[in-house]
Amino acid sequence: MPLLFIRQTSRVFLIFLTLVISQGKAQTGEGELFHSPPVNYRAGDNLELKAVYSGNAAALSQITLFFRAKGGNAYAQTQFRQINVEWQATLSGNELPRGGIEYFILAETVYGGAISFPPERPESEPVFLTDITPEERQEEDMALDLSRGTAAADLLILSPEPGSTIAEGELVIAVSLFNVPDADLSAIRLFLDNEDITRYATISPDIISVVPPANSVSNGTHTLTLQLANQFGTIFKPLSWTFTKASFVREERQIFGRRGRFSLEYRNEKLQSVRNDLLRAQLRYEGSVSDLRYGLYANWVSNDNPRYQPRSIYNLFIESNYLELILGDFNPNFSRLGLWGNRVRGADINLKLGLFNLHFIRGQLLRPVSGNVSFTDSTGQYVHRTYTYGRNVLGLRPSIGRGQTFQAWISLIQSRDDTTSLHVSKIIPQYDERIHSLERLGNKPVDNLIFTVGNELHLDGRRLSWSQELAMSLTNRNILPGVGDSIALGETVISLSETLDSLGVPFNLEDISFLFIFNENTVLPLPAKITDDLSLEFEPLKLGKYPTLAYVSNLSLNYYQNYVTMELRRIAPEFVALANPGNPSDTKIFDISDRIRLFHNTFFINLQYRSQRDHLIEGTKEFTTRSSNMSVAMSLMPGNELPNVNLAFRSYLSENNASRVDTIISIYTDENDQLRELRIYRDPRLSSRNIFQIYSLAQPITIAGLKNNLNFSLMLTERIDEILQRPPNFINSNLTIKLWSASWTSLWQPQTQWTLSYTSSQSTSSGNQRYFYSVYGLKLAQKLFSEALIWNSSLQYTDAWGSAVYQQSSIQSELRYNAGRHQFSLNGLYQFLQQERKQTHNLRISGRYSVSL
Amino acid sequence: MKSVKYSLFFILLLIFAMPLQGAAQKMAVITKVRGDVQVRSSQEKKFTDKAAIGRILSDGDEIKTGKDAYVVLIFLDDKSQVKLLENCSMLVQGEKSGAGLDKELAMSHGKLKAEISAQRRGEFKIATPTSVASVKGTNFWVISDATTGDQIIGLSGLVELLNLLSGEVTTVGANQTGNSSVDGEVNVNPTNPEDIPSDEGEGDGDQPSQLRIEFQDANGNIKEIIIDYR
Repeated sequence: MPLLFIRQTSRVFLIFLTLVISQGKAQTGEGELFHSPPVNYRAGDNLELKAVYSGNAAALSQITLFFRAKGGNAYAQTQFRQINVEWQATLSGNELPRGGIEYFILAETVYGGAISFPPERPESEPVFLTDITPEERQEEDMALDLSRGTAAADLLILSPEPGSTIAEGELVIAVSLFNVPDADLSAIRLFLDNEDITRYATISPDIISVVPPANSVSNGTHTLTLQLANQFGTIFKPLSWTFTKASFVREERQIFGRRGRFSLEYRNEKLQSVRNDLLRAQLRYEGSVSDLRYGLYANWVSNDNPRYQPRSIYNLFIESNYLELILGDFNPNFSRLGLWGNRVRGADINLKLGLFNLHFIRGQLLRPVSGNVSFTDSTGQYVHRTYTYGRNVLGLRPSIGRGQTFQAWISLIQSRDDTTSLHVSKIIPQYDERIHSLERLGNKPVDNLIFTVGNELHLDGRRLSWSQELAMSLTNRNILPGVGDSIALGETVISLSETLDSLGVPFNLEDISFLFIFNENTVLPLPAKITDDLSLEFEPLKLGKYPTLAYVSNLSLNYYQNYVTMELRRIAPEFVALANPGNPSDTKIFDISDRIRLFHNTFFINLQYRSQRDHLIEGTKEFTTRSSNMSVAMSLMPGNELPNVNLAFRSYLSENNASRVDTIISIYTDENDQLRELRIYRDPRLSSRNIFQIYSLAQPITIAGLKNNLNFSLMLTERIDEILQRPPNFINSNLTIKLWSASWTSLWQPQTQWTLSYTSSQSTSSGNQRYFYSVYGLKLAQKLFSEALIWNSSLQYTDAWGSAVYQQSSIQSELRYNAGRHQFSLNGLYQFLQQERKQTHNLRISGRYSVSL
Repeated sequence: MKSVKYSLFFILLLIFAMPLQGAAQKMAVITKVRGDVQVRSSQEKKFTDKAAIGRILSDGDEIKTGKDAYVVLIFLDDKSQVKLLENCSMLVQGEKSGAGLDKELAMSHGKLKAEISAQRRGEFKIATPTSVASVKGTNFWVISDATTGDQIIGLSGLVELLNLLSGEVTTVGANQTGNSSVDGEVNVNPTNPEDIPSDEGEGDGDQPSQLRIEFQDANGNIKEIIIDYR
């Protein structure tokens, strides 16, 4: 039974009532007198008043109610009687006048003291209660009638869900009146277990809501009833539903929570006569103990092969609010320039103290791959090919700030190939390195050290974000010779030890070989030139000439329906990050875009400009290549069964400053012993323009109650070589594509949907080679057993002619079954390709089972 | 004649000003809050209020979640539900349209789960800086990242995914994941179940939980039923 709304004797009730409804309290040194005046009274009906004393009840001698008619001279009095911890006084209906009463409560202690309610000047400033006016009485009477309504109202129970179980502190009673626009807000009554709680409700034309304070509703099942009428006097049928209030032991789950999923997948595949079968087992298990979270992840695949890098992944993690530890495979976001998402097998320790943080990683970027070894009789030596050295990585990243608003960091990333990781004797048992000579024809072992400094700033709820990072790399492209005293400056090798001595550096290169191995295969990371006397002169202030420097900066602004992003990235020609090999070198990129949302997200405009160039350091390349990309896209999504329209235009220009055409003249003798001249042209000039356009339209159409969607799109692409007077036989890259597609989707029932589609493409490439294809498609989707079983199927036929002629048919089907914790899926694909009288069959069948743990 | 012109001008001014003067359309009610969740009223420039259950969100209100926080909203017209996970912000926009609300949620980043009512009324769109997901009556996740783009993980029904940069549109169905990148690319692949975010705070999912109900008899004796459930 709820405590708040029914007459239940409980100290908690009155304490709550007074505190939460904030009607007032009186206080003594020992205890407090709590009382909540009623809103009003009905003349002629008994009025019951309640109070509770929070101190020792034995210390009270009596509690007295003093009352009088509004504006009266003298107070009448009646005694409160104690019922358990509560004190009650009843005023007979005969004693209650029309026009209101005034009253106060006086509690006397056995020690001669007294406390009152109101606590200050109770006699002169008593509580005033009004009686219910005839109009209010009429309303109340109508409230009685509200229970007899029969008309249906489109009420929507938002919370609590009928039949649901609600945890402590999560009870909110909310009913939507959105679909009852003519509801009479003064003729609404909400009952909790037959107790009228309307006065606690917030009522607006759209919603009725009540949030009972914590502990005010007891555990158990409760009934809510909503009665209402509309402005025309129609009384609606009362809406009743039940819910259960319980003290969920959610905390237990938080303290000892755990969950997981296991899946097993098998794929039988034969594509182009090549088998590619696969068995995969995945396990993810996570749990928590108090604030400590832990888990493991394993992804085992049958095609993991020591001849390649690992495909199976395993890791174990433990994390708390201050520390994250991962053992096994992980993908650290350590430094955007130095190490960003590459897989590492080892240990990742991230200490997060807020003001100071320390991220440490150590592991293997590449595992050693033995490759092939052969014996060459002519030279009497073994030759080792297609091998990969094991590559270790070590990273340290101290930072200040959590990163939610600000973080600044420095990082050091060392990646070094392990020259002892390859063992030929494991491949050729008879090989003995003490006897036989070995030649390795492949990649040399390398060493790479990166130092970065960066910061990020997020303001105004991340509406403004700015991050930047500066990095410098040191790379040795062959560490097999070991530590040397020289370093490379362009094509010149210079002595480094002498330079260090002249600069007064107090260590030799051997001392720092644990960090980096210097020798003549190392590129000097500073701008310098060799003077006439063959000494080295550094030019430290020429920032643009640092050969191994990289910088990236990102700014995003999300204001006034605009989302503006800017990126500046400059990576010098010799910058190398072995732990982040995706970085393009010798590149400067500037990118700015704005995505504008207008008219309540019904109209979008997107603008982007991007420019890119290479040849950052003069003289390192023959010519400079630049490209620029401009795009404009507009999308109109007005909703309400209106069509969605999308338009996109993109222009891409790529050019270089090469101006000459190289001609190689070769003289040869033909079969008639005549001297002939062969001219071979090399034309590096580049000026290529790409124009890309997309128009698409999606139109919902309802026919005889059937919901359909018609989609139409047109794509035009043109690539033009703008260089005139190319040498003879130059094959340019001109290309024109026109592609259009149309589809019709129809929803026959909520469970059945089919889509018919057609696509046609026509392209013309250099040399007027033409290529056409048409694709016809049919898709079916069926949901059965309350969507527990889902079946998707598609048929597709492609007919191509012109420069390539083929026909391909494919059928694909998928069946998914969800049975609570268990999920099953079965996929099948069959393709038949006929090309140049050759027939190819592709088949893939796969099945997957997963279960929640 | 001049006065007629002035009157017409005044009437037109009133007509245009009226929508601005009206109270903001009530959109949704907060039914669950965990952790630090703040609300910025459309009238305010800063987040000044802590979100609490029962809070009504109106057109133009913004809500953001802090670390380890989440909030659940239920829309008034059709009972569609949106759950916003930690470190996320979302602007609630919409207007009355026929029998429903045209709902437009603009999120800048983070994770969001939408459970759209089968009795959906009005449009339901979720816009990120990269994409717009237009919902056809479905349950799905939105994972938005300003640097990489968006992922729409379809759980049931269909979502139309538009990349704002390229204008490319694709449809994401159940057990499919639509990717919309900041480079303008859009693609759809089968969902890897491991990519589906953990539905924080849902005890009725896969996560084992325990329910204890206390009963008190007429003599004041308290008994407890403990139910283990998933």
